[in-house]
Amino acid sequence: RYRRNKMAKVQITYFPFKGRQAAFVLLLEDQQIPYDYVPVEFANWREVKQKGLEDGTLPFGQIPQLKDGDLYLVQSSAIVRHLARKHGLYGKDSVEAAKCDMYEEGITDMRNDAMKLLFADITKAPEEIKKTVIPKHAPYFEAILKRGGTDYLVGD
Amino acid sequence: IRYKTQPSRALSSALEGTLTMAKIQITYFPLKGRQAACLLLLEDQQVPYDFVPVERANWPDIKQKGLEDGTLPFGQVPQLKDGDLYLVQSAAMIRYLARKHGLYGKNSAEAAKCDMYEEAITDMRNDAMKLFYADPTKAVEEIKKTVFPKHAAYFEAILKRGGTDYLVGDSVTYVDYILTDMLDSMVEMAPEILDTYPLLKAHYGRMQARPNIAAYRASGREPPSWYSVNKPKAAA
Repeated sequence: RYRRNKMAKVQITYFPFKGRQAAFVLLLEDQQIPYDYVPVEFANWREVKQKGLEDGTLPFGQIPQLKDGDLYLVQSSAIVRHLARKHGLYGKDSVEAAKCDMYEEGITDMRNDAMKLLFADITKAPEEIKKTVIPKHAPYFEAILKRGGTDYLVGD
Repeated sequence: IRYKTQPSRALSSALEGTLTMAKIQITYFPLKGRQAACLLLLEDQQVPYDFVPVERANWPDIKQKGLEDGTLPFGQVPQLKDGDLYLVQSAAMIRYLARKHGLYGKNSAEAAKCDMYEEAITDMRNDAMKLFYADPTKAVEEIKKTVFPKHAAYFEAILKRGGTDYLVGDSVTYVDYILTDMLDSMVEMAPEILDTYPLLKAHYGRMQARPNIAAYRASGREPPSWYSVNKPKAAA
């Protein structure tokens, strides 16, 4: 009820692909949180970036950006944590919150390893990822899920 | 139960500081590395902790055991042990300590800004480390020319817009320790590097001057930096 009574919807600004907005878009959709999406065309990006750097709404010259009232947030991990805090998706106590953070960092490490291969050679990357990135990181999360024994990465 | 950003300071101290049965334990190689910002927080806040050094020779065994029993879920250190909680990933560790000790800003907007700035400082760190791994002999010059100016400008502007002594709000948060650790690395490689960034330089000076941090630095207990151990011998 509180969410729906808020004066403004959150607004997401990003290029028109999943990229670094995808996880929090999944969160917003799954939780039925109203939001507006502002696409940035590549042709306009330079101007949008310059303006954002000057007025501080894009403090690192990067998107995605989330606008929530007066708060302008960038860095996709910070955005998803803000939404998690706001909507009760950060575990039930500080121990669970810490595990959420720990696993987010671990998944980011996996993502970074995969992206490195994609940027190096996009044609060879899927094979390389299957041979190196997945076998390295997937067992960690398989073990985490096994030890946790619930339907979720953290808690129930 | 909706989880709050942080418990009140009084409640936090009463429950967590006084009644905790055991000290926090940090396990890591005997280097500043990825534990340094956590140590700055613990020392500045006078949170008792034990440091468990891992010698390189023992690391494969420790890693294997940690993977098997789940206390090192990614086969990496640093690790923080707090009672039954085993945490890895330095950013997760410092966020946990920040929540526990009221260093996460005073509301959810400030908490979000702390997170945003931590991510950006991590980006800067990653850019610098990439250059070191590529070519350690050239890395310092490259960092001075590219990585540092790019990122320092962002944080100089953030400090200017914020207009306070801290990165977020008007009291210390965990991201101030993260920034200080980052600037430690930069200043160690190039002592004059902050000279053209007055607000960053002032922030760095204030953090160094905090009594507990100054005492820690003077005590000789601080582990050596990765750079001091690994820098090319021929570097000028």
